[in-house]
Amino acid sequence: MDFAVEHLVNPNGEGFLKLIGVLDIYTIEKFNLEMDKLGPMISLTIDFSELYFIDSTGIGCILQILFKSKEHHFSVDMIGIRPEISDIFEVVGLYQIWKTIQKDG
Amino acid sequence: MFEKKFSHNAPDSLDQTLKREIHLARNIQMKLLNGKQPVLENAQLRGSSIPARLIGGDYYDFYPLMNGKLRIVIGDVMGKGIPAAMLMILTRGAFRSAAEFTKGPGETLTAMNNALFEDLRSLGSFVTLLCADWDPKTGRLNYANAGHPLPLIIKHTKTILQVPKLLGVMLGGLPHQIYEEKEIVLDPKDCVYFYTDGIIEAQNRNGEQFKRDRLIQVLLENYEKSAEDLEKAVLKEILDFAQDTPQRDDITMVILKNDQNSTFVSGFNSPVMNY
Repeated sequence: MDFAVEHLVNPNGEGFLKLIGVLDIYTIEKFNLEMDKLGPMISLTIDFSELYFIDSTGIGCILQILFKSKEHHFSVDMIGIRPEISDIFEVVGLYQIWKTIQKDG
Repeated sequence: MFEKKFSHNAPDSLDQTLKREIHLARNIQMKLLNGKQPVLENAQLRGSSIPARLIGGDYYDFYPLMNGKLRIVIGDVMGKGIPAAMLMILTRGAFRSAAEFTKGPGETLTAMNNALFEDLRSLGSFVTLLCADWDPKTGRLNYANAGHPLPLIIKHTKTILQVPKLLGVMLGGLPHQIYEEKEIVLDPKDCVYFYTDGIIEAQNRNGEQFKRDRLIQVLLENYEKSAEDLEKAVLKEILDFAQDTPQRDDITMVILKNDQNSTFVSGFNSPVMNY
């Protein structure tokens, strides 16, 4: 399964990112290229509803977004996370990191 | 007069040099990772790691403590191959330094996170780790978790015990983390199975994953075997499942089998403690 990403930032500075397929060591380059295209934002909503698999490198990408959000002062919302991916996020502590960064933000 | 003698042999191509150096790096990692393991009386200990590429980011280690306990760690560096392997070596150093002075697994993970946090952040990486202290006198296993899958306990009654849930943030995720500890007591003949997610995420040619249920099944079916044979049985099951599908992720496991009531650790770097 390949990877695709849809993104846009609307005139209000609200960003939307939809992840599709598999985000792993083989597809992160595509992800990073698309991330670089996103301009300044006040918020970013990441839609995981069509993401079927993520490995540690993929989690690293999501982590980078969270750290960027702290650096550039935009909020992050994560929606549509499939149960198996949600379990992984819970185990590695990604939700805890997200909560802490949003609180400190 | 001295004459310069020039070698007429063509220099190695970059490709050949890289191949040689990767193999040397692999040898170093294999020696460090799968080196001398503590010899336990009345318990069996087995650890093994198979990288997806020539070298990888999975890690396990043992550290016999002066109080007779054994500190066990298993972990997974983000990514694969050379970058992950380099960070694995860093993690190993941090563990061995921390294990020398920390009181328990929670404190060990805190010390490791404090030591590695800035480096991991600057590299955009992280490490998941599970650390546990095994006390052969009491059968207690104290554990702490930094984002890693929890171990499975195969009871002597041939059932799987659900280890009390314990979550924690991966190393490199947040600074100044305090890692909580929990404890279970192992009965004689109980077996603890630590693993990395490469096992449950191994895929076959249909894209199906091995999954935890299949792992539990093979552990129960082979429970009465020695730690070494149990390890072989799990690896065979994974190979049979995956068939010729290339290995996607590093695969690592540690098996601790409590043979009797008491265990004496005669470690390679601690004195023998008799009770």
